Amino acid sequence: MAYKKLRYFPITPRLQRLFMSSRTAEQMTWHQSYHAVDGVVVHPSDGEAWKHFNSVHPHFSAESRNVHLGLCTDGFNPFGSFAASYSCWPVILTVYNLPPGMCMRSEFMFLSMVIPGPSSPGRNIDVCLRPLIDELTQLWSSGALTYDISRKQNFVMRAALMWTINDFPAYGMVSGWSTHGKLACPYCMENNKAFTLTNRGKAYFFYYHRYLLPPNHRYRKNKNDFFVGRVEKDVAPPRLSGEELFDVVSEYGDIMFGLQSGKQKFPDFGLTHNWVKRSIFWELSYWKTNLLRHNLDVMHMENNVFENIFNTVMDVKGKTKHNIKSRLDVVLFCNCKNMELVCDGSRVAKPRASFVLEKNAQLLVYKWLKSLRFPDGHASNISRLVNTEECKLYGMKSHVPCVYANTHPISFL
Amino acid sequence: MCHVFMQTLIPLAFCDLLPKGIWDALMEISHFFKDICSSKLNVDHIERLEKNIVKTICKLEMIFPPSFFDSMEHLPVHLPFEVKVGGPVQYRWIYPLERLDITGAM
Repeated sequence: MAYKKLRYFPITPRLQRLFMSSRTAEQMTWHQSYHAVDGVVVHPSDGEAWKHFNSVHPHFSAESRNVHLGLCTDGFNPFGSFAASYSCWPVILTVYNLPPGMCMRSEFMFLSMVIPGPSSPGRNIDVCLRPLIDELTQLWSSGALTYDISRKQNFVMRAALMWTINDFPAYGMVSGWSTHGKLACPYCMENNKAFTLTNRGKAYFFYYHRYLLPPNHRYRKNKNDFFVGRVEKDVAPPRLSGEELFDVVSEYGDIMFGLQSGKQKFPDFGLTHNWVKRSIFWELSYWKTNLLRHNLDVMHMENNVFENIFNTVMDVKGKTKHNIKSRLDVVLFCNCKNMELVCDGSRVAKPRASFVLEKNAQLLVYKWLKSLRFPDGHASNISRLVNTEECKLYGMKSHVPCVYANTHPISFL
Repeated sequence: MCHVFMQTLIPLAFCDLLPKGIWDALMEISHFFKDICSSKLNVDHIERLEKNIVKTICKLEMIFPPSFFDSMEHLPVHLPFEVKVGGPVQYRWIYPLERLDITGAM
């Protein structure tokens, strides 16, 4: 009996089929025929990554019909969010040759494989990606003979993977740089200044961003509002290129994948680096020449930032970030009087912080939300999610906060 | 349209509920996301966003407690770089995939 069955759907025939229909064959060279305005970014082909890739691989860019691909993967529960937990991972390829109107349409997103559950594959995702990487390697090196109906001729079609698209936890699985703990940021890497708060066992990125400011910025010398008594002198480290990263990760060698491998870790994991594996994508010979290999997902980021702001400002019970533990930490790091706990004899008082709304102001915001109407197709009906009596916001699905993060300052007027 | 609407409304709607400094910082982060998600961006504008987002997050650091800042509050500083290199966000985020799941097309 097989332990798991991986469903794999080869991508080559589907790419070939794009050139067999006269409607899509012409569009596959859109990225070359359209005239970009200098300094304006409207399509991935305007980005530096695409241009750099074409200049490094002239044999690939010489044929405009060669295909640029993106890889998207995320876990979901096919039985619905209320069913028993089951995490199934579809891997989807997108074609970036097409014009903006067609590019991310479901017709041109090809399901490449379905990685079965019941749990997330974790870093073992590389084992499942093997057939896809083999096919991509073949599409890069030898290509596939394809008939192009728009020019009525055969040509050898090649394909290259530009980047992967994942949410932040999956970013770690795919890229090999774990996105947990102190060194979570895959850009800052070991130059990270995150620290663990005394009263919470998690890493926080607090008093962290001043080193990214210009050298003479006044915030750098501010000793009161940031870390008490500390002046920031460090400068932002350069971002490592693909070649440099490949050299670094290659030094750690390979790990054994599988159920029995346990939690095999590279030495100094979590201290000087966060590498958990050499990702299978490095096997693609062109991968290290890509400027952008993995994308941070803006959707999840917006969602998370919005929830943090909303829950803290509206003082949502159990969800606010300004709780007792936080107040205990504030004493250690900051100089904010209204955020601390105040002991008055036998009583301990929690003064209201300036960023938390009063109860009647909160009610006003919920009432305002209840009365909101959006243009058709702009957002779902937000008023349905609000309960003004309980002062609660329900069912914050991922597509709701997107609109929300863009409009919510109006609600604090 | 929505963008113009917000920008004209904000000077008028000087905070009633939140102090001005706090409201300004929230406004900035919200505008940042709005700008970074637009389908057409100028390289100059992206560079401006890259500089401003660091200041915005510093302002948030002055307002909110340490536990507010998990990794997701840090990552926006890298977004302008990704837009400059990879192109607009619409081609590189996970919405299309989520929609496929939601509609049951899978």
